[in-house]
Amino acid sequence: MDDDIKSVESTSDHSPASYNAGVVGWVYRGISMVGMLMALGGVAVEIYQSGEVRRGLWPVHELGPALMAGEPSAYTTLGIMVLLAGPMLALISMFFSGIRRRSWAAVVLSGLVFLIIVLAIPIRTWIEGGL
Amino acid sequence: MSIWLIAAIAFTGFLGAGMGTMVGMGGGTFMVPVLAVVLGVDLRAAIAAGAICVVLNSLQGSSVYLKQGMVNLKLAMVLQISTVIAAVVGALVVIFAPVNALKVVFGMVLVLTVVAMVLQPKGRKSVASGPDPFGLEASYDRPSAPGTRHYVPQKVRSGIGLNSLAGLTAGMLGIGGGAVQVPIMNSVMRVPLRAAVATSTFMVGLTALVSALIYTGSGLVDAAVTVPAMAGIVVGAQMGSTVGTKVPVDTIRMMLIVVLVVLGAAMVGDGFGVWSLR
Repeated sequence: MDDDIKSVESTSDHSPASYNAGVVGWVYRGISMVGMLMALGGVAVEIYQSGEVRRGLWPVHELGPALMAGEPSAYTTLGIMVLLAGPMLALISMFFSGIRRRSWAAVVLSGLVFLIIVLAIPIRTWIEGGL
Repeated sequence: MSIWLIAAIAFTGFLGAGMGTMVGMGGGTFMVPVLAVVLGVDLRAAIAAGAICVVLNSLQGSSVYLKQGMVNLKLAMVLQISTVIAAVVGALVVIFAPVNALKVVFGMVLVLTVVAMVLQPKGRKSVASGPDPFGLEASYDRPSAPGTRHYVPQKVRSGIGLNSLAGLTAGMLGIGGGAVQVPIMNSVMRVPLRAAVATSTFMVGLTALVSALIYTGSGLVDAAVTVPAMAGIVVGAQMGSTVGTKVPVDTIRMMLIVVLVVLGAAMVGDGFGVWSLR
């Protein structure tokens, strides 16, 4: 048997289980389907109703009322937000899976990446405000 | 925005993902410059659309690779820290840099992509044992042969540094950065190609996410550009993976090289105000 082909039980800290790979895979599949359908559905209804597509996304604080009012473009915005939430949910899943399995490397690494992503928007606002 | 322009954006995404999948690159490298220099879409809106399409592509591709156990999640997280920080810097450059400068940079990256496609750096054999200070060893079931492939990533510090380049280009240009990441993982870190592709597919989603969030916060995301592009990319990627085995890939690669050279020259020319495709 070739020395780089050998059976290995995945039980150590680096195993996919430490990062909840199966759950992350399902989260990704579900999120991409739901987000895509919402965004496409919103645009399709907009084109059908008015022949126009709203250019920008709805601001978060106006999104709830727009969804309640049945505004198609609000569903497009929600679809895009659902898509963007996918990788964040994966990180959260990996973080808590790491805690459950006492895989501290997984906890620290996924937590750090999550923190950097969450801080990106305040950093942008801070830089924009400073210029 | 006219219905024809929306259809043209969707078709561009379809074409980019279709050809990209056949030759092993993301659709954004083709889509973003075509949107900007051929269809006249604002470059920043095209870059934002590209980033969201990368997130979508990554979600779909990773779900398969995660199920197969191909993604080395710990390696991904170790590399992701520098990549995400670089992507934040890249996305901030998009917001604050002049559009013409972005066009010139994009054009130059397209030319470099073509050079990489022509040279095709040779991958190196993976290492099954050896020092592993970061504990990144992993294994996956071989899809084409019985047995498990075990590997230990090498030169992790170099990998971390070089991957920040992928993050910077991804953040600045709305492309995935897989074209940079996969050769680094495969040739420098000696990760088997399949694992490198799978791990990169997972990583580009998080890298693109951070820039997509910054673009969204800055109001750069245009639904009329993003959603048709998403639809085109999804259908194109499906078509590319289905038809890819039946068409002469070398011909597609040659066509794509010529198109990318023309687009790269057009982006640089447009950036300097001397030549435009429109």
